[in-house]
Amino acid sequence: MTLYEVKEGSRVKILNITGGHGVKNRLAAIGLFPGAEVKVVKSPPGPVIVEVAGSRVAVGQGMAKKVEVERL
Amino acid sequence: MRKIRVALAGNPNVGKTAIMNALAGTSEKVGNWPGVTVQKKVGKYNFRGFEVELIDLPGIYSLTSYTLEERVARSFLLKGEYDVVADVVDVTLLGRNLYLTLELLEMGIKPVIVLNKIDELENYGYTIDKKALEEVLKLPVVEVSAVKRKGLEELSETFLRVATGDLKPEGFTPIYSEELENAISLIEMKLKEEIGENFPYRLRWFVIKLLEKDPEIIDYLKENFKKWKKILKEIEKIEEEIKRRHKSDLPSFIARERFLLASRIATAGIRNIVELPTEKLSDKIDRVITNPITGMPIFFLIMWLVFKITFDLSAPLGDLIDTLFSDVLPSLVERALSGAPPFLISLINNGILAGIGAVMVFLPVLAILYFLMSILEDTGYMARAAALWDNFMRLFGLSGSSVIPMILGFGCNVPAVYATRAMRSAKQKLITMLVIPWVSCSARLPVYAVFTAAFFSKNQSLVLLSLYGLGIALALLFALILSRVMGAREECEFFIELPPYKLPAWSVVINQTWIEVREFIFKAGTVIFAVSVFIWALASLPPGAPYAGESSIVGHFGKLLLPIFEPLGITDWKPIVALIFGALAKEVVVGTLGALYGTGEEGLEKALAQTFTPESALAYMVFTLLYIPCIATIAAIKQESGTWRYPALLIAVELTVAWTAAFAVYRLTLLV
Repeated sequence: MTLYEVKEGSRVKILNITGGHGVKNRLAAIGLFPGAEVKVVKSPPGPVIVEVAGSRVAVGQGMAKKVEVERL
Repeated sequence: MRKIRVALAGNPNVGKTAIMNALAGTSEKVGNWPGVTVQKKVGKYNFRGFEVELIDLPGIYSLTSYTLEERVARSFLLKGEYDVVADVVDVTLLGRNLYLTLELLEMGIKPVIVLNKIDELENYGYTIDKKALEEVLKLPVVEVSAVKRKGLEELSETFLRVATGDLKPEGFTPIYSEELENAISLIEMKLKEEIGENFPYRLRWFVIKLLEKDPEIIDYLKENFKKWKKILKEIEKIEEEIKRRHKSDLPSFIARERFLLASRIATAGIRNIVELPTEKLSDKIDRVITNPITGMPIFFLIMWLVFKITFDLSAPLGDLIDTLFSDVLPSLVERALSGAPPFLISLINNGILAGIGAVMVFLPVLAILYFLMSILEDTGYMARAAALWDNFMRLFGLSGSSVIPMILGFGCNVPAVYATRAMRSAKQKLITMLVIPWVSCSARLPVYAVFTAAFFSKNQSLVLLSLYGLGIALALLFALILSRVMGAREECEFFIELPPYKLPAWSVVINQTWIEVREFIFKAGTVIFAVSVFIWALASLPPGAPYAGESSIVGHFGKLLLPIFEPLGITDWKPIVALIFGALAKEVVVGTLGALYGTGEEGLEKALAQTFTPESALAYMVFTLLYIPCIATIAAIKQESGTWRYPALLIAVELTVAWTAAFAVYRLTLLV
């Protein structure tokens, strides 16, 4: 399952992120890396919003489809 | 006076601008880092007999070399041309912010930790133990609220003490898991075998960046180490092991280790934690304003309000400035210099005063629009709007952040170009500012109004809509082409932090607006003024020729260009001269036509009906929409991109496209 498909309000664990090192590195620096646990504040339509390390991050749909997660 | 240079590093949204503003007031100078579209701000202030220079580094989350902003910040830090590095930390997101601190420490930098937004902590259910943080990090820590102007004295004092060597921070060395440390030692050992004396980096940092597959560092390895293949192979082996055990690639694994260490340090510095509900009111608001169904109407309502306020407030001011420079002052000059040669009076009135007027007339729109944009940025709405539009803009290779600048372009292209400053990605910023001139600004409307009234009175709105549509379509098309050419697609993968909603910090907003307006007057203003005087000279030379008349240089020029415009159905030199004047500001086209046909603006429609056919009128409108941006926009693009290369390229492309589109429209409508 990807971040794009997660229901609003659920907590998920990130399993894998597809993409270049650049994107992965920038995501990791704000707390989105394999193994991290985040809460999905809002799901599509529109961007996905996650709560991570105390801040809210909006993830575009294209990016959200590249983040593989599992429900906690 | 002794000088101290302080570099401000930190994540986006931590309040570096507010700190700059609180310490250095409006002394700030805005420019670009050499050769790139990344903004550089420098401020100065005096403190206890020292001149402190603050250099604001781009807001970044990490110090890799993947984005321009990171490269700019990193190469500045590596060069070491500073006395102190201040690491500005948002105390409400301590763990996340300490990630960058750890990267600084890895580089061997011992920054002063500036805990900003200390006044906001009460809403977050914990307090900070400054002493504990200082002990763990082995760095000086200063608690500050830039907006409430708290802790500033202590901050300046700490800068001074570090710069003079009175305070020598020891600096904590980040140590990671045994697994990672073993990998680091192994590669360190391999590198030591052939490390040169002039090796410019700290070895441990170099190794960590190698393991993170940092492109710049790998290039350095390949160029300077004979055994680079062996070393890269060793790293691959390490990565395979990490993949097997942690199901993660090596760079993500390291980032994760760093993030977890940063969180642990934060926990050591946090006290009196009260559990707060994680669902916040702002989450409810975010769900509404970033959902396209509800968010789009809200977005357009806000933009409509921005335009309404801007034009309602700026129109009377603009008229006042216009009357002053084209009416009041010129008649004063004529009276004062009566008897002087007409050439001199024309120089002062049509050249110098008109030139200053051309700069001044932009100020009300620019100041008000900039002020409103800062409010949108400061309250946190801008980030939400970018998130809302991301999906649509991705179709054209742009991200959501480019929407607001493009929409502002409908009002005036000049502030729209300046609004691209809020964009994080340097490539996308450049693309956005280059496509903004296709967006039809309000100054082009008078041209359409006159021509549609003269030729298309029955379907005026259809013609108007088509012109606007053509501009939008070309802007998006060129965005798509440019993003392909420049390889901005990687940066399309979009995520943006949504800062908490808050009231704007008025002192910051007002100071920043003033700084921007001042920069416009000195940088763009000089270009606009120079071109205005130049065009005046073309219109009044040789001496004795009637202003912009047939025998003036510009008149000759118009006639010379006539063969180029004949395929568009334009058979008179006067509309061509009007286009040349339109470079000053596009609404000038109408005024010039009125003057050249001797009708004023009122009788112009009749005169046009004799020169143009409906088909050629349409072609002329299309040409006016698409040909070169006005001088103010060109000057703004030069100022923002830091080079004449891009505006020059833009002018060439726009002239070509304008002619081609006008030709196509003319021929096609003749067929219908």
